[in-house]
Amino acid sequence: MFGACGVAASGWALQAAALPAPKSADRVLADASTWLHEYRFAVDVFHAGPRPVRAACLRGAVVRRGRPRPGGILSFGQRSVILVTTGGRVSLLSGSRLRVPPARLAADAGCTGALELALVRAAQTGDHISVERAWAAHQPTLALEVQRGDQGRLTVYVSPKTSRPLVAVVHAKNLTVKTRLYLTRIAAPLLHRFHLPVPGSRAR
Amino acid sequence: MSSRSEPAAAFGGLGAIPRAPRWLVGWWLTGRVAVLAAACAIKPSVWTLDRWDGRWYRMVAQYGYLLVPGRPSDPAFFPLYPILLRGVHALGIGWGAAGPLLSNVAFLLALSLFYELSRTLFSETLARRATTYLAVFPLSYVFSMAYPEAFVLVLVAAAPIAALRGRWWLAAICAAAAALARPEGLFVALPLAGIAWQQRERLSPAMRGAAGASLLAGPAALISFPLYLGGVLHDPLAWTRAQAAWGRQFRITGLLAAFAQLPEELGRHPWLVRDVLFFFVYLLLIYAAWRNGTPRTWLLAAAAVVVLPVFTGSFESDARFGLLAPPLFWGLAALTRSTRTERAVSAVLLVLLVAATASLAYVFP
Repeated sequence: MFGACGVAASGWALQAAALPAPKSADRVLADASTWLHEYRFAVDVFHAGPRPVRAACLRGAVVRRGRPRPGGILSFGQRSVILVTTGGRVSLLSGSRLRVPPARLAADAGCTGALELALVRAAQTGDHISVERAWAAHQPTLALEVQRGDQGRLTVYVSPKTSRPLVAVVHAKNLTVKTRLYLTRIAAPLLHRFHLPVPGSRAR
Repeated sequence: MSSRSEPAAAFGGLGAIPRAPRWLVGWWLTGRVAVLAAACAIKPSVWTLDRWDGRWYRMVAQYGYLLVPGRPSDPAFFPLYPILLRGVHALGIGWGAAGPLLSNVAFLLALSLFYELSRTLFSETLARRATTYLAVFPLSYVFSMAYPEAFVLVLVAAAPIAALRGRWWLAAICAAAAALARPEGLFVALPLAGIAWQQRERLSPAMRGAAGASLLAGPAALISFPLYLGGVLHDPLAWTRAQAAWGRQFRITGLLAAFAQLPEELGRHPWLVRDVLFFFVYLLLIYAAWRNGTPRTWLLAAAAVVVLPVFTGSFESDARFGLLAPPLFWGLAALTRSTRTERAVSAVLLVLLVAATASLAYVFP
């Protein structure tokens, strides 16, 4: 028994001494992605033009050409409803085409699925990730910044205590889209308000 | 021998690391050249041998563990191989080349130890034949990749050799290291238990303690992994969670589920047919090894290596897992008795090895 404890302690010591501990930025990223994974629904307030624009994004499987694919629906209410599929493809479901904020960047910043995917890809590919103290959403936050190569830069402001995402900013070329994220449990009144389908129904 | 000098003797190594005979080096070289040539034909860089799981081991070596809940992440990969990768990288070798280099060198040592072990348990002829088959086995391209299998095979062969020579503390170290490198390393405790039982009359009380320690070393080392993950990720169950995200979770009904879901799985992943075929071939080889007089504890360990992963509900990668079961190669060697058959089988295996390596462009092992 004593020997077994010795082996376990030696094994632990070997790992602790020889392997690097994860960086704090990586830890914050993993925690933030957990929040995004757990919440399928987010209400967004976009700051991309003269006035804030309210929207909501529901993550789920979207049926495209008869096959279910991971994606989501980003709705700006009566203004426009956009279908988002993984890989960044967006298509207009109803309403008029968005100019401000641009649909694709809006989906990147405002949908939990797209945000989670961006963070997870950064974690899995060893992309440059940094974290620093910041101020956002009228409170002290941690700014988690991910360099995404050609896709520009993503900054997610998270709560310093819980790593809950509060604000997402997508920078691509000359455009920047910023949204205040309200991760919310799915509720029928909210879905109706944003003209979103009840989960499980088929979106064409 | 006095009791004071016994522990020193028990640590005293394998005598010397067995020197690889020329024919063995020749087969190692033949197999590795075939693998490297096929890999370079896909893409002339280390890319082919450093991809799939190799990328994850490299990430652990470079950045440490990070659990991303609900998503495939690196705590699913055991820590010893990334530690070795860091050691090789520290010598000035690039991350991409470190894994394949380490694995290829380790495989030569593994073949030598496997030959030595086979010779101890069986005849010289069977040992030579089994070693040849192992060197050019179709799935043996994994031993050239940035995967821990080659290194685990070194430990799986070294531990029982040490035990057979009465070096029980060394056997314990090898068993612990094997369990820290791959879950299959845990099963080396079974043949060690068999050897300890055979030697029970001859072992002094101190050596019995060492033999007992070698049986517990694997599980104890395995416990250190969740302890470490608990320390750095604040989640001792990170390995289980990561495995679940990779689609691997042990359950009692897993074997039945694997068969029940097989038609659907084959529809989605046609490459799975490779693992299913090897699963049944491995079972036949275990039977052949049993007919040939392989000790039962070895057969039990081999069965555990081949069958237990299927309890996760899938045959995925079972062909690769079986590489760490020496009785499979003893069984194959026992099936081919004449020199002509041996040559034919070696040639077929070599051709299959090239074809299997080429499959790396499409599917993980």
